[in-house]
Amino acid sequence: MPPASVSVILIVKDGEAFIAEALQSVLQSSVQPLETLVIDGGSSDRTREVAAGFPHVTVVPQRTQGLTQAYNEGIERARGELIAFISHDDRWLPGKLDRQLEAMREGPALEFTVTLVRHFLESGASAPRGFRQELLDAPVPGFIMETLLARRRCFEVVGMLDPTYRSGSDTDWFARATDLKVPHLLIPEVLVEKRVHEENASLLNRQSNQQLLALLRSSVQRKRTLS
Amino acid sequence: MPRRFRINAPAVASEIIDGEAVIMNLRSGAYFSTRGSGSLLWSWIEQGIPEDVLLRALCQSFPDADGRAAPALETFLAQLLEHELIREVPLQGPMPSPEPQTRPATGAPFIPPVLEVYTDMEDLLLLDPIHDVSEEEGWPAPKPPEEPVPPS
Repeated sequence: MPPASVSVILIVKDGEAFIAEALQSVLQSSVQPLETLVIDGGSSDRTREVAAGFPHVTVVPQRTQGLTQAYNEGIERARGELIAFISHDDRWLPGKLDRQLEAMREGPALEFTVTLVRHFLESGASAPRGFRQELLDAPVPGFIMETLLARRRCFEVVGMLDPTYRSGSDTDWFARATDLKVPHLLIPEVLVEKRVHEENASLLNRQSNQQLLALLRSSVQRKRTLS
Repeated sequence: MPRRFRINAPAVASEIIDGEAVIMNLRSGAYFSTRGSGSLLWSWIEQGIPEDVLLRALCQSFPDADGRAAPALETFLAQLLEHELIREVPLQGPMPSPEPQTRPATGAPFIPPVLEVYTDMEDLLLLDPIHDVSEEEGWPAPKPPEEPVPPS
């Protein structure tokens, strides 16, 4: 059976400092992506030039606004049977795609897999205000876009990311998947490293408590309806 | 001696949405929804109202509660304490409000407070790397420095 085709979606704005490392890390599996869609939110630095130098990369200027819509644009354009995600300032560990594809071959009912994630402090940087320092001590389950490998049809069942959540829409997506009992697996291995630095948009744009409570309220209502 | 309570912020955050209190405990990863008179009680507890005043206010709001209000309140408070959503605080100090904003009795029947507990999203809530920072306590709440030992 030929290996499943994978589209990788990388979201970026002004990421020239780290994007090469992120794109290099995508190539460190024996399975190579069918395509890597770099959704660029209007970078004014050399991000697009750096990205275009990597194999399988298509730079896509973002038509919409915000992180959530950038992900949705990527999902809509993706041609692979499976879709994976990475932020420009993160890195996958060698074999990430191989390990997740293997798990989904062994568990054909699985609709998506996620992995553990380790946070690391960029040399010389300090953590953003409010960052939970204990996350630097030990890996944690990564129910975030950057660890996700999902079958494309999963986004038809669960739906797209909801842009009404200004940020943290991935938590809402995973909550919806959980409520719908979509089969998934947390692979208990660290396969993604998330860089902690002052400008990390995917950390700084996490949801406010208010948004988190709103999505939990939606989840409670879904559970009542589904039961 | 009546007890008084305080919400365990910043680990515990809540909102009243559509008449129900939605509460999350970011240390345990559990979240909660109230039913019945739970949201009313939660909003009063947020104001730091002591237990005896809570009971009085509950009885005023729901004259039909009779003898059911006291055990229902006790059970509800015990659940909130068990899940570390509130903690008991000393009664000394200024009382924030002697009487809660009781709602006028509308004739609606008393429905005991219910705390629904959900633990299916621990991995999502415990991961969240950044939380709103309380100006008062910060996040995470730093360990207080040890008191220096006075020279003997």
